[in-house]
Amino acid sequence: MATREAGKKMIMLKSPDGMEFEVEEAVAMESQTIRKMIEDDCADTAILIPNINSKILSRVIEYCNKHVPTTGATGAAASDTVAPAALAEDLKIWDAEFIKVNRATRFDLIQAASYLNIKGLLDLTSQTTIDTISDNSLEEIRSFLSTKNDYLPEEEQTIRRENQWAFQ
Amino acid sequence: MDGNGVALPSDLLLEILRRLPGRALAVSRCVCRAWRDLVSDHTHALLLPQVFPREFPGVFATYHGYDPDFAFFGPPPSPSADAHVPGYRRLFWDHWDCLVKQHCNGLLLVTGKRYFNPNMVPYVCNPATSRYARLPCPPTRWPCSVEGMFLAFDPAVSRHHEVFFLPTEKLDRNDEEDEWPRAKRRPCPCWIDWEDTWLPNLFGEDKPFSESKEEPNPKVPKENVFHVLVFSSRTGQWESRKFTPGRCASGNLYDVVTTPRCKDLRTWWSAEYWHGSLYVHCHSDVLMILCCSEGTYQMVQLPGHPYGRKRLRQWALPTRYLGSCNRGIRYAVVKDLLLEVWDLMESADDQLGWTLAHRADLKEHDRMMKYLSSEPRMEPRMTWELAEGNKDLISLFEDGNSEEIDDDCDDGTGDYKDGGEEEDEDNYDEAQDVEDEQEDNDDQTQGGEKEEQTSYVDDDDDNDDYDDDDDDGSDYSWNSDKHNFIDYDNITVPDEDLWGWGCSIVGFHPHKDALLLKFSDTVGTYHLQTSRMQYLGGYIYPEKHHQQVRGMDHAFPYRPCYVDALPLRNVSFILETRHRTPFYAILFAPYVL
Repeated sequence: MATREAGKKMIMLKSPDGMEFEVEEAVAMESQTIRKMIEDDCADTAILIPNINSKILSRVIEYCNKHVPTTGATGAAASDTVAPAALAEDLKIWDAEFIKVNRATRFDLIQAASYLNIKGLLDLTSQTTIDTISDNSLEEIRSFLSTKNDYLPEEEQTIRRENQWAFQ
Repeated sequence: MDGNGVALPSDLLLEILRRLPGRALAVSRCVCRAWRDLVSDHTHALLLPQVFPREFPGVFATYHGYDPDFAFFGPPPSPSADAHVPGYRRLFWDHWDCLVKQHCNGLLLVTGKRYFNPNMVPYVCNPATSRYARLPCPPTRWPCSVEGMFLAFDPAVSRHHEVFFLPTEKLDRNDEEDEWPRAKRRPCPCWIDWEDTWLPNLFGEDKPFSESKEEPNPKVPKENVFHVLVFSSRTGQWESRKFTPGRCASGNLYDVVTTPRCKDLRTWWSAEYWHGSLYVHCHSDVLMILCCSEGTYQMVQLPGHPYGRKRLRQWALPTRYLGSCNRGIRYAVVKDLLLEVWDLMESADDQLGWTLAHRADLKEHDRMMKYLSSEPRMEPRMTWELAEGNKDLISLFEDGNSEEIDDDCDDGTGDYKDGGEEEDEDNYDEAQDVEDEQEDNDDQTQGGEKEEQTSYVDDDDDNDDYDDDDDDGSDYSWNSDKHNFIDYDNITVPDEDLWGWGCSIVGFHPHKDALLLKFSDTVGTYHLQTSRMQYLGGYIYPEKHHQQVRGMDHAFPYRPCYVDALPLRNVSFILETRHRTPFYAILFAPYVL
């Protein structure tokens, strides 16, 4: 049930494995998907978030908590005293720390961010993958993504030749 | 698993790949088969934002009587490090005998100039990729200054282009009221009297053309069809396509359009390709729409005051302009400094009609532009400037391009680092300094004017709400609506002798609700939503002229496109320049859209 606590509206999020998370509405609204549900008045009772297990959901909430506009989470007073630039810098460091997770978790986070439509989180999580693909050799990409090279040798030669320019 | 080798659904993987630069995208094709297929299936969607960005580097103009006779009029390069600087400053023009005949989404159709190089075969060029292709001869007579030849290219749909060649029939006489006697002495470009340019029928398809020649004959029961020759870069050949009457095609207008004209009157003025249809501005104020997918044509009378007998001069900026914007086809007319902008609408009963989108009296703007250009009376934040050919542009029709471009790709970042950028940056800094100085001066002497400038900025919010996409590349394209709005409340133009020389239309802004207008020597952007005029800057003619008679022939807003189906000229050249333009090379990938 949506409740009120210290003047803030709370929302209950449920993961499919039965865990419940009570978060501020403002935090939950970081997700465009949930925002839509709330705005359409579908959020009277707890919102069930399918496909996202409690471990990932708790991380997503952690992210949203951090990224919610400061007036909501840390109080108006804090935002007045901290310079915006420093705040952004802080967030960056926090993000870098936040994303230090194993590959499976990261992919789960990508999926969660995509489903919940949290742009910042999606950018953050996919960026690591993008960096990996952009910066590393083919072998490293494969091992990072644990994909197998299923090209036949001559096939691989052909496709490498086609894309030769990108390897130089 | 979703069969793509990664623990991500394909749509999410695409979401990630969409963010990759072209180079990494090419590498990713080599990871495994599933990825290759995914990238190949979606190459176009993945690349479109990169290959056809919302950039507006400026206006390309050709002149007569100047040397060089072409120039690029645009905002100064941006110092922004992130903005990739494409090759737009390198429009390849050191050919005084060539003329950009038409342009379409980044591709240019280049022909020989009528008097100097009449037999030049048209080329299709892309300045952004520095590639070009010669058009093969169509299976018909080859007129010198090709009339009725129009490009159709939409990178959002395909990297292939088409060239439409509309049938043109001329009477064997000049207009009786010929005001330009010189034209009589020179043979005019037309189908009839250029026997000597007859080229053998290469494709054995002469028939369609002769058919269309017979059609206007009233004695033969006629079928109102158009046979149009179309060149497709997919097949590399010309073919004849038949267009039958569509929903809105009156026989009267068909007769008007197909009636042979006198030799020195044009039949086809311009054309705009939009959403798979070619919108052709025909003579006598008729708009013909060739719908390529359905093979039909529609015709509708253009709105506004009738054109009357007065001819459009062939080489001058038009006062009637057909173009497209996000919403659809638009038609702008300026007559006696009265501007009207009309939108083409299709009504519920399939009839075509026009609605007046904007009407404005440009007299005040005309006077103001004259006033502002005659003396530096306003301190513009930053004005557009002319990049003249010899300095910044390269030649396309020869092989020595590589060295020039080569110098610019010393860094391996894959960014569009232009070699000139550092220099430009310096220039910009200087410009900034100057500006600062000016502002300092303003403080002392012209406080009032400075306030005006501030107010320009303050007002900007109301411009932004109708165009949310301003952010893309705004830095370097100078898309922002922050500069140089003329403040009519604070600048008063004295009454005396400031009547301008009228106004002509350069074109619609590529992605804004705005019209680029030329007032005598200056160019302004007229924002249709707010009716405000943005002063783009100074003198739009090259410095050096060599004739008494001179002027601007042709100008159009250029929007670069980094994808095309034009042939690669030199593979090693492409490889060397990979850092500047990774997209060229992705075309090696055998993908078919």
